[in-house]
Amino acid sequence: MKLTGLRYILPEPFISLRRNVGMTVAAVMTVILTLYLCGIFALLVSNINRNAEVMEAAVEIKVFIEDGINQEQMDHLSAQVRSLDGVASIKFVSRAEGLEQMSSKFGNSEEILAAIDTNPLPNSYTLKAASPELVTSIAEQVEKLPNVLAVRYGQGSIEKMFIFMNWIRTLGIGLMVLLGFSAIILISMNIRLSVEARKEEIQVMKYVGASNSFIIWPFILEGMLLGLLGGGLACILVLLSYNAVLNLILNSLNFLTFVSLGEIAFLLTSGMLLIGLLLGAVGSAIAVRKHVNV
Amino acid sequence: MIDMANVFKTYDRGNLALKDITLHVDNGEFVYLTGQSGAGKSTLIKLLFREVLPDSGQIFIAGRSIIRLNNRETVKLRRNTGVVFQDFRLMENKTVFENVAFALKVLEYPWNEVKESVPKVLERLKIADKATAFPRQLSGGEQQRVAFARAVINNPPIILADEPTGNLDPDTSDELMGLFQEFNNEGATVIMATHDKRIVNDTHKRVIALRKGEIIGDHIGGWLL
Repeated sequence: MKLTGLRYILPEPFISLRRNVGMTVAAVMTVILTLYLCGIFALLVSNINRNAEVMEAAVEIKVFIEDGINQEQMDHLSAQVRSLDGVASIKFVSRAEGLEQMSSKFGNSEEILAAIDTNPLPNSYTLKAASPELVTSIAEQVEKLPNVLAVRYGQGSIEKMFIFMNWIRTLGIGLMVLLGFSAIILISMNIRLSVEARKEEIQVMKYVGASNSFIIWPFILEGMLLGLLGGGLACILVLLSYNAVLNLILNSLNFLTFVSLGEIAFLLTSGMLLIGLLLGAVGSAIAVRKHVNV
Repeated sequence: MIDMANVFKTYDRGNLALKDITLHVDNGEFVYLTGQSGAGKSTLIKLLFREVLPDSGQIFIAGRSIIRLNNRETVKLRRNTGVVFQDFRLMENKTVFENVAFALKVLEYPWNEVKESVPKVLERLKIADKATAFPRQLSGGEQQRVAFARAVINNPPIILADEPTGNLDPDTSDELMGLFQEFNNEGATVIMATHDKRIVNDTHKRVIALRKGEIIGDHIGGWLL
């Protein structure tokens, strides 16, 4: 297409959106509503994910060491543990430090220290796994090493937590896909309806001798504009809602971790604009092609 | 210029619209197609700008078959054919100026030429004062003038009209017929489907009469409907 053609095509979507106000408003509202729901749900899923990550990252493996082993044996054990696949960090905790940590966990350390004559705790290592799924296998391997008294990582409950977290994640992603799919259908249907309402106009364009690209492109650009407009407005609404919710619950639910607005803003904005743009373009293209190729 | 040879057209459910149509129209001729509703006039017009395709037979325009054309060639055919419909078929969301200008824009005329040509044709058709109006703000006669302006703005060699006066009062019809005559005098071939007795019975032009899809008469001069 020549530059003159482009010059005629580019202003068309703006004129058309202005003149078909009713259709424009209906289509933009649909885009806003569906993408708003998608955006809110995406935030929900990413927050659940974030909390799952935090909880999983907090899982530690405690390796208690037998008493009476010498420094060389200790170093050897440390090297063996370090060489296991998936061990991210290892930290030596002496019996005294262990008692300190335990007593501070249970409140007034003075009282507890006074209640016991001797320190019952052995020396230990605190391990962190590179990824939460490796915790159990690391623990099993460590347990078999010599001079290891016991390994504790919350056996039983940790596995249940991981299963629960995975379940929540899968559910979240599943619902996300479902919602995304309904958004695609709803938005493209709506845009197709607005094209459908103008099928006579398309016929007339054909009779006058307009080429397919001369007919199709203004509609595609119009769809993209609708999608972009709806996506942009939905994004603003999502960010405003999220900000309001964060302000409201950040103090009262301080045991949970929330994804900050700054972290998510760019991804969310670009994602929603892109989805709006694509849905608008594809919806229009499909609808208008149907009438062009008659 | 226009040749049809043994053309048959049947619509869905077996409705025979045209049966063995063979005709020739010379360059610059003015031809009326007449007949009752359902006689096949509109189908014949539609075949000439490829809104529908025949089941069999051949159609030639300027020596070239129009049966097997690709998209690009169809577009070219339509750009050389001005079509006027009974129901005007204007783009409702475009102003009079934009409706007429559209025919030039699709041909990618430079904007300067569009800006000059459209007011000229609107002036000639006496609707220059309606340039910024939308079709719904115009009378039937005015809308048909806009449709006519759109059809002739790029001086197509062929003008097809399907009952162009069907929705107009007698005076407005006469004015419109005058416009067709003007463009025919300037060299355009005009083929007009009509069952307007007032027009056809008094004419001294060629009249092709159709009945149930067949040509039953092809005469110079009026044909009593």
